[in-house]
Amino acid sequence: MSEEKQNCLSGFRKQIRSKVEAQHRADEISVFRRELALLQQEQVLVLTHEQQTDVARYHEKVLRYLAAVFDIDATTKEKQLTLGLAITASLGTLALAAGVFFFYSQYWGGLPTSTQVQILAGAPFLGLLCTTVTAMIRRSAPLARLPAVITWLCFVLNVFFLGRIYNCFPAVSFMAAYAAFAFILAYAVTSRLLLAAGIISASCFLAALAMMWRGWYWIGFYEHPEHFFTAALLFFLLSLIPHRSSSGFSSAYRICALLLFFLPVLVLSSWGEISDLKLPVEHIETIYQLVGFIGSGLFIAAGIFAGWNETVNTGYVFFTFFLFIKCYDWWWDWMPRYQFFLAIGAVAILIFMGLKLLRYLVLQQNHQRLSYK
Amino acid sequence: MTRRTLLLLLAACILLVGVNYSIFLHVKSNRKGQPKARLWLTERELPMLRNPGFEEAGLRLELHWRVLGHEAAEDRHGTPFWLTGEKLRRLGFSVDPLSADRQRENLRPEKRPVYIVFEQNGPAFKEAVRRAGQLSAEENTPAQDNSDDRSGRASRLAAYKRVELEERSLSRLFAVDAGTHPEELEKFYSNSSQYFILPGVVQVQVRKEDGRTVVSGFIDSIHLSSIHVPLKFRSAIESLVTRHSQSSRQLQTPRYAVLLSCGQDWEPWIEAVGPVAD
Repeated sequence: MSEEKQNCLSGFRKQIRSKVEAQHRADEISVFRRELALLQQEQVLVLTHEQQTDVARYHEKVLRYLAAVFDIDATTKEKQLTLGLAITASLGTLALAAGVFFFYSQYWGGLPTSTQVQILAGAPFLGLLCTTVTAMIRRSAPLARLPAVITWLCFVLNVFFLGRIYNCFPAVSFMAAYAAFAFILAYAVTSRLLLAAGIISASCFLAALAMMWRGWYWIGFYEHPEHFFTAALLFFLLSLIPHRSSSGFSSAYRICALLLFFLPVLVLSSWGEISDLKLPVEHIETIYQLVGFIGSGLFIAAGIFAGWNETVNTGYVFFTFFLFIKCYDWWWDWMPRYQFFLAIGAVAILIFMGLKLLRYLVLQQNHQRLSYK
Repeated sequence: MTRRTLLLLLAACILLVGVNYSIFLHVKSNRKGQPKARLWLTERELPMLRNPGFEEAGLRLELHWRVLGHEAAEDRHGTPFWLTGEKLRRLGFSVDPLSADRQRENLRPEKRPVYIVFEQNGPAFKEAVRRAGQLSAEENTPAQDNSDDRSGRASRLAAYKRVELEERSLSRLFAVDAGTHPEELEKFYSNSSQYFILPGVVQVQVRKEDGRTVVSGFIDSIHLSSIHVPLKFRSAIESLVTRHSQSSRQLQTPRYAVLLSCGQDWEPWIEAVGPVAD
């Protein structure tokens, strides 16, 4: 009997690969325990004493294993404390990053060039060493994100200030280096902040490359929003790759991809003159307004279908943005202010009612499906 | 710590080494051998740049350069007389001979990376002084001289001050040419104590002038607008500036001179600092 249980546990160990999955499993156990207690109280399901003991023992083993390997929070109190830790760590990261930046800007001029170069080149290595040591200590592994972020910042300052000291001309390859370093550190310590830094750097690099291919000066890449669409597509495709051991990365990729797509569309729908399309400005703006409306609608639908909450939410945000911009274009100039805001309120209520109807229809459909079964 | 984490941190370490090595290699190759240009610039061309937010962040010298326009010397935002249709075409801009309105519609304000030739204290500067002198002379013609009104006197004074500024205070560094291949420019401007080349950006502009559309270019920016001053030269510059302090009402004359060298990739560095020779 005990061998059987041991096998059960080893099978379950293979299924759990990340902290998020472990936490999810612990939460499921907690919900199951509450529901079982209720069912027994209502006399719907009555387990024998032996069965109850077996289940409780198995769950204890599972929770002990998850707590030891993934450092999960088994109770609500633990969860609250972990949230406090995360907030403190984030604030600490920001404070340390600001400290490093202001150190460079405050005392920099008073140091000889050789010392400057030693500090610049040495700081990221020191940061990397701190990250490695923190990651090696099992229970403080999540804290490794803090030195990792500082390390990335030191690396950016390293490249930037070396370029300033030696009067180097700006090069597009440095952005690729920032991106590569951020991605490596992000995957090493499972940091979404570093992943976002990597995505931003890589998007700027791709947009700058597009500029160079056209024979234009690459630093002006931000003046051509359409060049960000390639990065949006790339990161959306990357989000489809399962990231089981890097929890939250798929949704982070999706959010960034949507921002890289919708922000340029939003800009181009109002300022068509900066587009690369060889069409009259009014046509360009109309095209991008349509792309914005249809695109956000499609992403909301895709998000609901695939169960991507972040895609649905981002889609809603941009749909609302496009709608209000359009309302502004149509009504702001010829309506009195109070009428404009009343109209906006009416539109918001109409959308609310539409969504409510949609929710009702989905619920009806689910009820029908359940009654057929 | 998992094996994957360890491998990734190792990769990060390799990347760090690689990037730093490539920067130092680049700096070394730039400064190897005889510099491509070696010239003395003064405070007129390289005034001190201080970022008010970062007082202690070090000293950088800002490269002040000008262009010679069709009528007079202009600041760096001006339109150089040599940056016209044919030159723009050779720099890669599509300046087709279209009708005025179509041209205005079709010509996008695109920017192109180019190499710009800078001339220190050369014919362009002499021409700027000559034009300022000519303007002053025109203002002082007997007919103008007799005019007793206040605006006439003010414009004569301004013209006189302009000559003085040109001769003693304004930058003598002029952007005189641009091309897409630095090697060709190097051959043409071979005097290394007077000319140097820096990469920059040229932008086209389309404007209406007397009812017709004029297409011209201007230098949008250069890739290196300021130069780092190492600590050993910083104290020398600061002591020269303190010794010859000037009030803001005075004509700002140069107090220090800097020997600037440009390496194989045209990236400059300061080699020496000294007082301005009389």
